[in-house]
Amino acid sequence: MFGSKLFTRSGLILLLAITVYAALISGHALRISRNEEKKVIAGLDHELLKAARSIPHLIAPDFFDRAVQPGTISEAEDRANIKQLTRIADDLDLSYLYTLVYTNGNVYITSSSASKEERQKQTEVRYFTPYPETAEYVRKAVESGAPVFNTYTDRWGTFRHVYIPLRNKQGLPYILAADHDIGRISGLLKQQTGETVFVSLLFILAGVPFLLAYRLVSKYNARRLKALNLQLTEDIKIRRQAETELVKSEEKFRLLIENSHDIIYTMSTDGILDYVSPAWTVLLGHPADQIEGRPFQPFIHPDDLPACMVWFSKVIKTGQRQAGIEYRVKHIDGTWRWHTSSAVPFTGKDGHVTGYYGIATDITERRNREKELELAKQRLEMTQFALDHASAEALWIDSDGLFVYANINACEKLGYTREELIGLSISEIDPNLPAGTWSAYWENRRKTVSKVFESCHKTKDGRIFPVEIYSNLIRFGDKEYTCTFSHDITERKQMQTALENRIVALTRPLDQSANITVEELFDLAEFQRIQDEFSAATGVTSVISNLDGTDITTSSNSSTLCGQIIRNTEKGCANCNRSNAALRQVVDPKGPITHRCLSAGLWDGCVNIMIGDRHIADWMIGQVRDETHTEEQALQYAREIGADEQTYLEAFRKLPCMSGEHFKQIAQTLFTLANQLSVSAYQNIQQARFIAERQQAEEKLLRLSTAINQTAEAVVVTDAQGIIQYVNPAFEFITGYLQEETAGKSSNLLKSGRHDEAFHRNLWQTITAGQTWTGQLINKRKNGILYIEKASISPVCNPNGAIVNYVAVKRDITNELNKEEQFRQSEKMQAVGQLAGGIAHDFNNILQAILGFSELLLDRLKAETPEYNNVSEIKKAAARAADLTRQLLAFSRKQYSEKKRFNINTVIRDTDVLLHLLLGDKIICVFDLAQNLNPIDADPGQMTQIIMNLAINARDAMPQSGRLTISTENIRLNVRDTAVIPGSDPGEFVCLALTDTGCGMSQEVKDHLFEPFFTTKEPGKGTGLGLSVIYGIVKQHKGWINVYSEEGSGTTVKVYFPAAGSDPARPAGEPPVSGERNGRILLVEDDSDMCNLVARILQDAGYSTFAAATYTEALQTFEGEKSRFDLLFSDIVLPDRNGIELADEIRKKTPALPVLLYSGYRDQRERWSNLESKGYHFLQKPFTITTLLAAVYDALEKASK
Amino acid sequence: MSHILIIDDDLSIQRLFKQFLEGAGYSISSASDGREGMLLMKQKKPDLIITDIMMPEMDGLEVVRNINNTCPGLPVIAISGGMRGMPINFLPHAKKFGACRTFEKPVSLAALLKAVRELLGTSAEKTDSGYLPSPGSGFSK
Repeated sequence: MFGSKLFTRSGLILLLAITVYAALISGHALRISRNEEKKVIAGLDHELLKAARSIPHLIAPDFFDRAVQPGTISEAEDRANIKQLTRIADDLDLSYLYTLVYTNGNVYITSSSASKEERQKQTEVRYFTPYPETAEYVRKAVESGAPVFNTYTDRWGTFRHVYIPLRNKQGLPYILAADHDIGRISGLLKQQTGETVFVSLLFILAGVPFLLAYRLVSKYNARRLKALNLQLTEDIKIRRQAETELVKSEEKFRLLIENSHDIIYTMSTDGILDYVSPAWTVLLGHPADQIEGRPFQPFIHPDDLPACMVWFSKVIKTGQRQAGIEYRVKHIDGTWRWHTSSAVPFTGKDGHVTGYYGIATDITERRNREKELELAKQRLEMTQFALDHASAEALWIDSDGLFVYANINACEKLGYTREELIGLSISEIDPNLPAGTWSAYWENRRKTVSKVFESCHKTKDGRIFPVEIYSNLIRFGDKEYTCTFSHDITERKQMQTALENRIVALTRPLDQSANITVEELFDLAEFQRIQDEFSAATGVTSVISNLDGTDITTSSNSSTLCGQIIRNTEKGCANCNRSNAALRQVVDPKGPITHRCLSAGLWDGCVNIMIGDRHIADWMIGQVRDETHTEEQALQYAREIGADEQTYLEAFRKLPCMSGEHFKQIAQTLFTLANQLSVSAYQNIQQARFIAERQQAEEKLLRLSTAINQTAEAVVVTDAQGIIQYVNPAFEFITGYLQEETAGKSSNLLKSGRHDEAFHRNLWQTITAGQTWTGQLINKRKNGILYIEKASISPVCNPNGAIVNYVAVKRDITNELNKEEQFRQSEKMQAVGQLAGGIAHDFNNILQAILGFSELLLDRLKAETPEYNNVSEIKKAAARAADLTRQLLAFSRKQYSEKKRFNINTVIRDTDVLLHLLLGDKIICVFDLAQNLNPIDADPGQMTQIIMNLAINARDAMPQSGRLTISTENIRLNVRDTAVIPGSDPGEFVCLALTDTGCGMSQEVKDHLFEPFFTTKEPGKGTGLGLSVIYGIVKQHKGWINVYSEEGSGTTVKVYFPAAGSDPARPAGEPPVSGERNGRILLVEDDSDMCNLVARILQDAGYSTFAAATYTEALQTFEGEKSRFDLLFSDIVLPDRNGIELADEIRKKTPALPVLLYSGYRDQRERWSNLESKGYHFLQKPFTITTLLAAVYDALEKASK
Repeated sequence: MSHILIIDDDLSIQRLFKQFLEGAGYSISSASDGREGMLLMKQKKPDLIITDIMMPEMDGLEVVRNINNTCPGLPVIAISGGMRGMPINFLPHAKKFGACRTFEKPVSLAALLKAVRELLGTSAEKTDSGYLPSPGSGFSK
């Protein structure tokens, strides 16, 4: 009992202990699991936060400003967003990555990744899907303004999410969100808890003591936790790396793809273009988002589609890379573009091909080129065929005169085979080019490209025929050939000769037509035909003969009796001749002559063929028996002349028989006919002559009009009222008006308004009185610019003496006058300069005395006394005089200028402050300086002087306010430009221009602008020397000044300086040798002390010197320095030869080089009298430094003029 | 007392400078051309030389060169009124050859005195002469 009681009690205690033990162990295990869960979730949250924060980098930057209401995001953009977010969500192993907008208390999804199931269903439209389940969380996040994390369950599953609240530009809240499916993690944790409890129970059952079990469970759990955490950390690390690299490589490939010139695309196995790069839009015009999701077939040319389909299935079927397909794709404008494509297939997880990456390149240009080449080849073949079969003889001849090609016709015509002909010399077939003459001919031939001429060709068997040759000079490869086409012109030549003869005859003046013949007047064959037909119709015999009785035509219908019987007898023949002569003796232009012949008594007639009143031939008819003429009478005549009676009688019977009346009628008919023929021949002559004369007149006219068209003088023809009827090209060139613009206009068109009424009245009075007016006219061109012309206007009268036209011949003399004016101006300036230089020394000494002594005096006198004031005035006046002298000198003399190579822009910028002080606030000063302005070689100080001086003038022209623009530019002038710009030279220049908006200047002011002492300012405000000093400086720099100004419309002064390196004497790009500011001098002196001294002085004065001791050495130095000298300065007495010979030799090479020779011989002029005639300067030894420098200066200065 | 040698072929200018500089407390010798000036220089050993440029016999440039060669450090003032008949300015040459100061004629006496004083390193030889250069007393160019 006790035992059982005890057992019961101890059993109860044991049971209790075990229960407590189990509970404690399990509780411990659960606590550990809870801790573990918290740690895992914390790691996850961190990842979610990062993923959500990356969203703005994946979608358009302005997306959140636009994604605020339905319809503002296109489906294409939505799909693109889905694609991007899905890719990242997949990579980061997230369930969803999305964005929300919170508007009017509602939540909408604005973009989101898609789950796998959704992707398969292809229901990927997300934009503005309501998402009310999350409204609570969103509100919370927006209110807190910080990311919030939640674990929640909705229709898509159980998720841990983060919501990051942000606001767009309009202040509307939106959310970046990332979800992670934590169903799996919860499962794992649950499993872990189960395991722990299970392990605890095992310990209990195994009777492991509590403390040990506690420690073991703790240890077990710690190990598990550590492993889990390690796994998590590792996952996070890998994920992070993947993420960074993904972003990097994404960016790289995106840039590559988006900037590729080729189209990069992905194609699905069902032929859908999943993606196309922006190059599609560039190459084919369609926006890329319109292409994505569409099948490729409709874009392919129907002819190329079958091949493309075969290729496409090959890619999909083989899973191998394919290339080389060429096909046409439709451009948005409807044209077809040639593309070639290559494809790399990609596979899904199951290893099956799911599509391919493709690269398509536009090869349209290549295809076009190939097509052109093909066409060109065809054309070439056609050309060759055409040439081979051309009807002309085609021959190619090389520069040695040998045939290199002959076509079929050439071979046939010349009787050679092609093999024989090629390699044969031209002299074999062209008698005009015998052997040995070719090279001279060729040299000449090369001067013209094509030529048409006549020559002869000789066949293989020696026959020569005339040819017309079209010859072309052709360069083929690096050789020259002539390519000739020849035609046989034998027939044409014959016809031409006959025609030429007739034309000569016909056009011969009438008084020279004494010897004109029937042959020349008529077509003889035609004439014969008329004669034959006339005889046949009338039965009479007929022949045309010259006046001397020789026959022109062949006798028609000639009888046996006359021709063979009577003329066979001596007496009969004589009678016949006598009879004919008698007949011809009578000349009757009014009608036919008939008679019974003095031989057999037959009827004979004669009609005179007259040309005008000239009798040139006779048309004879006859051998007709009168009806009263008996056989008896015939027999009697037969006996009389001794002919056989029987034969005579038979022939007599065959003669046509008619009455005298009838015969006369026939003769009359003939007369009419012949008369008509004569008249038409005569008219022919007259017509031909008329044509010839007209032709001559036309040629004369053509020559005249060519002359008028080509003359440089303007020619204007007007009618009597001064309306222009004709102007020549020179007129067009000078005035700018075209012929068609002037036709019908009054000659007042050019009136400038510079001449008064009286001037025009006088002009018109002169010409209307029938006289020629000559004089100068100031006229206006079409562009408004005035010009001066020397004109001669003459009236043209008709035969009745009435004026029908006026002809004006005019020459533009504006440039001539300008040049004259410039020359006059510069002469004047020079004169003033010389005058100033001449008196300056003495004048300055005088002024020094006046000024100095008045200063001394002033010091002795008490201030404010009249004497003191008077001396003060003397001093002031002297000071003014000194100032004037100084300016005059500055204008006239070549100032000692420190020339440097620099950019004038720098100087202009440096004057900025000074200009502001000078111009004040009312005048705005603007710089418009050319970039890359060429440098100039000049004295920067003098440039400043020019700018300041011109700026002062501009200021004075704008007393109220205005604007001064200082600009620079590079200018290149050719010879033609210089004709238009006064004072200019051709070459490269830098132009400095100052433009003001001031009052401008009148023509008169402009004319005198640079003259010393000319000023428009009030007395005391300017000396009038400022601009003349500028003139001097600019001239010294070999530049010039142009002034453009009109009263009331501002002034532009343009100053031109030669660009550095553009000096023709110095090759471009070569900078001036240092120290040669003033010139390079070749110094020849054999005394070394003297030589050193002179060289030192000259160097100190800014010249560079090159010393030589002898004639020979001097020439070597001259050559060595490439003749680049400005002066030869030599002693006349040299050890080897003399200085004059040296100068002569050097002048042969550089004829303009100034020469200064010196000598100690006093009688130099007698000894070397020809120095002056050669233009050599002379300096007498010994010389002072000033005389030496003056002489050098003088020689250089004179040369520069 | 510093000694100044004046070389000028124009006697009135010689007199002017002599009178003025003596008034300013200097002792003066004068010469009418370069050669005479060089002789006087050897005798008088002046502290400063004022020379004209265009002179007969020996011109001012040669004077400057000579002094520069024989007595380097002896200050020279060159004054020129230009050359007869030829527009050349020799003053830059004079400066090259060693002239300390150059003046174009006419020079204001005040400016000349200022230069003399600076070159001789003295503020004034004689304060009661009243030849103190005052601003504006020279005429501006």
